[in-house]
Amino acid sequence: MLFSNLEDKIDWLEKELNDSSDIASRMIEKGGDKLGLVFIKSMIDNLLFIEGVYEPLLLCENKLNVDVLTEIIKSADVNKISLKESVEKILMGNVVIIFEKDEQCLAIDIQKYPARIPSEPPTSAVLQGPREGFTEDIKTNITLIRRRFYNKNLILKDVFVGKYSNTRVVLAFLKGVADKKLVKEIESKLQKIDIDGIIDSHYIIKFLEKNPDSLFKQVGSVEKPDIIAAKILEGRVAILVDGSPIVLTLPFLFFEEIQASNDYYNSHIYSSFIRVVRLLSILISVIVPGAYIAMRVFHQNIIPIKFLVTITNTTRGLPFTPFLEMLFISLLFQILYEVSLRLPSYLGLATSIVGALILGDTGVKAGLISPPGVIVIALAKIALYTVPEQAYQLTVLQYLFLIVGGSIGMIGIVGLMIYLVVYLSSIDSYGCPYLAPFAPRVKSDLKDGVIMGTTKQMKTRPKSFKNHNLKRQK
Amino acid sequence: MIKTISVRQTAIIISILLFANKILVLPSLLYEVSKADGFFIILFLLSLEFLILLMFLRLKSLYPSTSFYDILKLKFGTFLAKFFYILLAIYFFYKIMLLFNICYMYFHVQVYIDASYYIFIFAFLVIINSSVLRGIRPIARSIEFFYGFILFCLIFCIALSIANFDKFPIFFDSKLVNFFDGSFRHLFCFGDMLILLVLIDKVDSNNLLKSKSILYFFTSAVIILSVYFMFYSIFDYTAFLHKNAISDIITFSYRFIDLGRLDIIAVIIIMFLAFFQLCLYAYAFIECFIKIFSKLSVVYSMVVFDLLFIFIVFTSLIDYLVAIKIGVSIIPYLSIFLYFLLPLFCIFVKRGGNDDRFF
Repeated sequence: MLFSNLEDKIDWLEKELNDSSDIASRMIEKGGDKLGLVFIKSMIDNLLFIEGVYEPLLLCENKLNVDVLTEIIKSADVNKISLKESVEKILMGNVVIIFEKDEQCLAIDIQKYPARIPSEPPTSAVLQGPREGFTEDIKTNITLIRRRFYNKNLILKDVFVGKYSNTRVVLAFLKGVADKKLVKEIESKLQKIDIDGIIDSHYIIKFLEKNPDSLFKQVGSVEKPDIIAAKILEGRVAILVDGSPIVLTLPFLFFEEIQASNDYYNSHIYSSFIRVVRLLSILISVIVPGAYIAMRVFHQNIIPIKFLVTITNTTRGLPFTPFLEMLFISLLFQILYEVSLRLPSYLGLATSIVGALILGDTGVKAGLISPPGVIVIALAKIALYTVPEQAYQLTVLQYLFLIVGGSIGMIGIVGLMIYLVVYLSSIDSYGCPYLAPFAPRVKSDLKDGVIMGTTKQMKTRPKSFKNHNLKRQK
Repeated sequence: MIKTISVRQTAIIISILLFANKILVLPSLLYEVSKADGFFIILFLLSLEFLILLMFLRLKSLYPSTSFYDILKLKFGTFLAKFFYILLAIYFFYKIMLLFNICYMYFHVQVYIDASYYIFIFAFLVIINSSVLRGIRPIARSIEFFYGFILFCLIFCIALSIANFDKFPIFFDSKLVNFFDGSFRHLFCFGDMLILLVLIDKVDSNNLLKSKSILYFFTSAVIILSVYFMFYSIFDYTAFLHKNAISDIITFSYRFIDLGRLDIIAVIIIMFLAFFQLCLYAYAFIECFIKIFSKLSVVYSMVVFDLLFIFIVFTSLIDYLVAIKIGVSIIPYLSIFLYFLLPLFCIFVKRGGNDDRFF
């Protein structure tokens, strides 16, 4: 591209940027040197622009060329670029300085936009341990990870995804620990994504999953930097997406979700107990409604007589069949849950009153639903949220077990359990069996399974997936 | 590349297969023949089963990555290899029908009094199909996943039955001829280790295979013997009336009557065992079928299996009584050939220029 003067260059740039209304340009002429500044008004830090860029330019007594300006501009991030590259830089919130007599330009990164400060994520609250969480700003997120690794082996790799959004996606891993093939595979999968835009990290999950139609989550999603640091240390690869507070991890195993960061900050005995409780909660939430309905419809003879009497007395005269009754209560809870998620907080109390008192209590008194049914569903729905990250998939499973239990009884429940385990056993997360370390059993990884060992006992990195360096401590 | 199953998974499969058809109806059938000396029959038959396991281990060490079909082809030629595989397929299909009918009778009596036959056909076929089509590796991993739970529950059942124990069984109360007669006629409940021969090339070659297989075999054998011992102790002269041994030894536990029917634990465990054993037998059947009709894919073979299964079940061609009748009349003769002679031939017969691996 050949331009005779600075105005032509600025005109070309503005045209490239489609004469968007938030594009600003300034021209400075000093001692015969002419230069222009082009930027997006809403994307830069005004104070930094005036103090760090504009004032030094006005006060400069030397010739205004690329080398001099690189020295005098008060910013850590000044890069020499071509005029063609400047379009992308401007869109990313850089101020670009264009020289009349020089082909090169300068890009100064003083990007600023409204961003949250790191705060405790609502789904990963802890009693002890770090409380900071990731934000929507990728730079903040990178800093949060970086300051946990003062080591040159923490590698960050940039990939830009999205035809229009051109979103920055960063892969973070430990060189010499993470499997090189895994990093390459993830990188190539990201590069192959052909989509118009990436709004959140969840957009790319389906491109990374090997069984995208599966109900089960195959990519880890974390909101806390301490958890990500621990996962990177284990040899996993973290994927940060600009604009998302959720950082993805790979490979991902099914039992990762029963691990919480709190477990590592408490006594391992207590943590083991809590993990058992979590596992039991998953089983209760998924199986209990189905088992209850199976017993009521098919296997009344196995219910202890005292319970049977209570159930019979409370269910007498109900208009619904046992299966429809359970389905009705379950759907009622689901509706209330969805409403409470989306209602403004000041209406939350009203929803609770309507849900618990009017619908629940009055429903029982009116003889539409039975108290045992309400108790079973309430227990199952509460138990669901001991592992909030898996709540959505467990909800679907809950309904599946309810339908199977109501249709063919206990044999259906056992059969569905086996079907699910066979299915999960066939899933492979980037070369790692999904149900590891339990199926197949990886003995050394069981120390961080359900029954935890102490940090001192965890001498090796997980063997469930490939690592270059297994040793963690002597 | 063949996806192999680990040594531990193989050992667990051995352990799970050993329970097939042995802890429900067999104790009472054996009592009818030789009273409490049925305990010695099971001991003897388990020893024979152990022999099959040893032969499998020997074959595995001789031919670490060769399929059983290829071994047979090497020793006897293609025609005979196919013929033996037809016999194996018939045998595995019979085992499926036997197991299905025994389990159906058991569940029907215990927890599905008013339920239709179709529930069982539907449940079993769906799981068998989905599992077999996914391959042996997911099946083996699933069995490994539930193994601890299954073992714990079985031990728990035996522990509960101790509450009903008050005297030792009366041994040596029947004639020696009954012992041999009972052993021969009830061979149909054994021979589960034959599946291993079909899986031989899919098992990981490892030095620990022998020790682990034997260890898991003995674990299961001890549990089975404990069930027989408790059963004959608790029921004594009425043992022949109790057709569901593992359930009955805890059902009549009057000390726990307030807790409701504890035999639900046994019911759930038998459900797990039945599903897994049927999946393994179906997998072995499909493997044989594919070798016999080499142009058929797994999916088509599965369809053939389903149609055959549905036809036989719906026409009641092989129901519970017929399955037992075939078991005590025809199957023992087939068993002697398949359990012992066929593996022995494979170990000892030398044929073909490349085959110099024998004792």
